[in-house]
Amino acid sequence: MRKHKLVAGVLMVPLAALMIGCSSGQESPATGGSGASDNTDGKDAAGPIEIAYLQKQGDQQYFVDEITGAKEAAAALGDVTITSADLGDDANKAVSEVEAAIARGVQGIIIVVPDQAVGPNVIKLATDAGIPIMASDDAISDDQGNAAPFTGFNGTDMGSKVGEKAAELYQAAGWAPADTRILASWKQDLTVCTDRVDGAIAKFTEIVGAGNTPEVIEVGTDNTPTNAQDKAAATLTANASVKHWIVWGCNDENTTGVTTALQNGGVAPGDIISVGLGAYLACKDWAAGQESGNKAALYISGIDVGKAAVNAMVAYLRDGVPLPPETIADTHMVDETNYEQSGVVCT
Amino acid sequence: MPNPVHAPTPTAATPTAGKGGQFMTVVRRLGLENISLVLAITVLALLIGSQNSAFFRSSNIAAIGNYVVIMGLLAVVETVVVIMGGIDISVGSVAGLASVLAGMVYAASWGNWWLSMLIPLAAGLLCGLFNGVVVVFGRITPLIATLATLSGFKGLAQLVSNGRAQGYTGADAVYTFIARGKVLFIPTLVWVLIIVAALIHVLLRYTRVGRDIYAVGGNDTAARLSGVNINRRILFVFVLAGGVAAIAGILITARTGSGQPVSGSQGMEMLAVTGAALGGAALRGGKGSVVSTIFAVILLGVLLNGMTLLGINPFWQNVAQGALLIAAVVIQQLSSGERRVGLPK
Repeated sequence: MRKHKLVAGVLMVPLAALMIGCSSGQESPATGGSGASDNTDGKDAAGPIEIAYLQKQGDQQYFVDEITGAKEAAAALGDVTITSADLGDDANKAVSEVEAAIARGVQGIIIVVPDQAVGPNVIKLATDAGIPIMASDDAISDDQGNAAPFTGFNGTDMGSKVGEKAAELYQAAGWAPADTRILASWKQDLTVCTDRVDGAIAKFTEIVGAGNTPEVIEVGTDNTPTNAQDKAAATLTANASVKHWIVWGCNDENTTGVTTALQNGGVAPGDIISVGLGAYLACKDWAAGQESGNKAALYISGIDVGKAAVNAMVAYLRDGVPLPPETIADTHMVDETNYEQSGVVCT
Repeated sequence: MPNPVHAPTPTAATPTAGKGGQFMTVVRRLGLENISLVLAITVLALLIGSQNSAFFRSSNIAAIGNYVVIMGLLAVVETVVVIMGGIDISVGSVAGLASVLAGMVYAASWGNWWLSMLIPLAAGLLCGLFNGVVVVFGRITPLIATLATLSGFKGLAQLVSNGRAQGYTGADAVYTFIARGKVLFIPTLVWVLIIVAALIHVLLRYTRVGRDIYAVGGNDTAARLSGVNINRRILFVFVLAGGVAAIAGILITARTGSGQPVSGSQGMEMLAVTGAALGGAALRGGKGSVVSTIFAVILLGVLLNGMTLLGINPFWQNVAQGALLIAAVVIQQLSSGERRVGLPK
C-alpha cells in the first residue's frame, strides 16, 4: 500500500509539472504577454518606436519603394525605427516573422500578407500580444470578418482608371473589334489582382459599349515579367491573325512582360496599347526614348503608401489618433510626356 | 569508385581516452561538428544579443524555436536521405501538398481534425514511395527524380487547390494547440520536432535499419555483399521522407490557419539541404547525424532571426545563408584530407 502511494506520488510530480506548463493556445492575454508592449490604446510609446514592416515579394520594386517611403517617414518623425522582412510568397514565413516581431517587443506591425487567408492568424497573434496591426496593400480580416486598418489602393478603382485610359486610346486608334484582342494577365489566385482586372474590363466596356469591346483573352501568371512574357508568347502563337492588341494586368511586371513578348513576336509597337499599373517598369522605355507598346501606366507610389502607413501608425502610438479603417493613396495616369513630373522613380 | 564505409555513428565515442587524454575523449564523445556548431551558435547569439538585448527574451527564443520547426523537420529527414547517399529536394512540395490536403479534408469533413491529418500523412507516404520507386526501379538518380517531383507535387498541390489557400483551421482546438499551445512551457510545435528528431536519432543509432542506411551510403556494394537489402532500405528512406514532410505540411496548416499549396516549396527544400550539409552530413553518403542537423538548423534560425532583429537588409539573409553553407562544407572537405585535384568526390 505504502509502495503504491510512493509510485503515485512520483507519477504526480511530472504530471503536475506538465499541467503547470501547459497551454491550449486558445487563451487571449489581456495584455502583451510574450514580452511585448501593450499598445492597444495607443499613447504609451513616448520613447523610441520600432515598427515591423513585413512584406510579401519584398524584392519587387514597388515593395522596395514602399520600404524606402516607410524609412523616410520614420526619419522625418524622429526616434522611429523600421525593421523590414521579405516574406516572399510564404504564408508560413508571415506567421514566423509576426511571432518574431512580437517577441522582440515592436510597438506596431504593418504587413503585406502573401495570402489573405493568413489574415485571421496574424491578427490574432498581434492582438493577443497587445500590438496594433495594420494591413498594407492587401486587406486582411480577423476570423469574425472584421477588417484590420488598411493603407493602400482601391483595386477596383485602379482597374477602372486603367480601363478608362485603354478605352480612350482604343477609340483614338480606330481599331475594329474583330481585329483586336484584349490580353489581360494576372496572378489569378490573388483577389487584389482580380479586382483590378475586373475593374478594367467593366470600365472599358462601359465606355466603348459591349458591341465594340474586343474579345478578352485571360492569361494566368505569377506576376513576374518573365512568366508574363512566356505566357504571352504562347498566346500570340495561338492568335497569329490578330492585328491589334490591348494589354492590361495586375502590375507593370505583367504588362511590360506581355508587351515585350508581343513586340518580340513581330507585333509593331503601334499595334499595341499597353496600359501598365505601377509605371516603374513602363517608364524604362520612355526614359530610353524607345518606341514601345507601353503607352501609359497608372502610377501607384509605393513610397506614398509606405509613408502613409508609418505616419498613421506613429500618430496612433504617440498621440492616440485612431488608425483609419482605410487610407487610400492617390494614383495618377502617366505616359512618356509626364511621368517624370509625376514623381515616377525610374531606376 | 565506392566510398569507404564510415563509422555508422560519427558522434560515437571511442572507448579509451588515448594519447589526447580526457579532453580529446570529451571532444570525440560530443563530436567535433556538434562542438563547432554550439560554439558558432553561442558566438552568434552573443554578438546579436550585444547589439539588441531583446534577442535573449524568452519569447524571442520561443519564436526562433517555432521558426525552425518546419525547416528542422525537413532537414532532419533530409539528413537520413543524405546519409544513404541520396538527396530529396521534393520535401517542400510534399509539405505543400499535405498542407493543402489537410485544409481541404478539414473543410470537407466538417472539422474532423484527425482525418484531416491522417489523409495528408498517407498522401505524403505515397509521394515518398513514388520517389523511391522512380529512383530504384526507374534507375533515375535521386537528384533528378526529386527535381521532377519537386515540380510535379507542387503542381498537384496547386491543381487540387486551384492555387488558393484551402479551409480554415484557426478556430479548431487541436490545430490551435499545435500552432500556439505549450507543454512544459515549450511550444507544441517544438515538441513535434523534438519527438520526430529523437525517433529518427534512435532509428539511425540503435537499430539495424539505421546501421544499414549508413552502410548503403558508405559503400553500397559492401552493404549488398554483407546481406543488406539495398532496394528495401532506399524505399524505406524515401517513404520516411514523404511521411515527415507531410507532418511538416500539417504544421504549416496549423500555423497559417489554412492549407497553403506553395508555402513548403518557397525555398524550404533548399533550407533542408542546407541544414543537413551544415550539420556535417556528407553529400556523398555514409556520414551525418540528426543531433548535428538540429544544431545547424538552430544556427540558421538564430542567424535569420538576428538579421531581422538588427534591421539588416533582407537581401543579405540569402547571402549570409549561402556563405554559411560554403564555409561549413569547405571546412568539412578540407578536414577530410581529400586531395585537391579535379572535381571533388
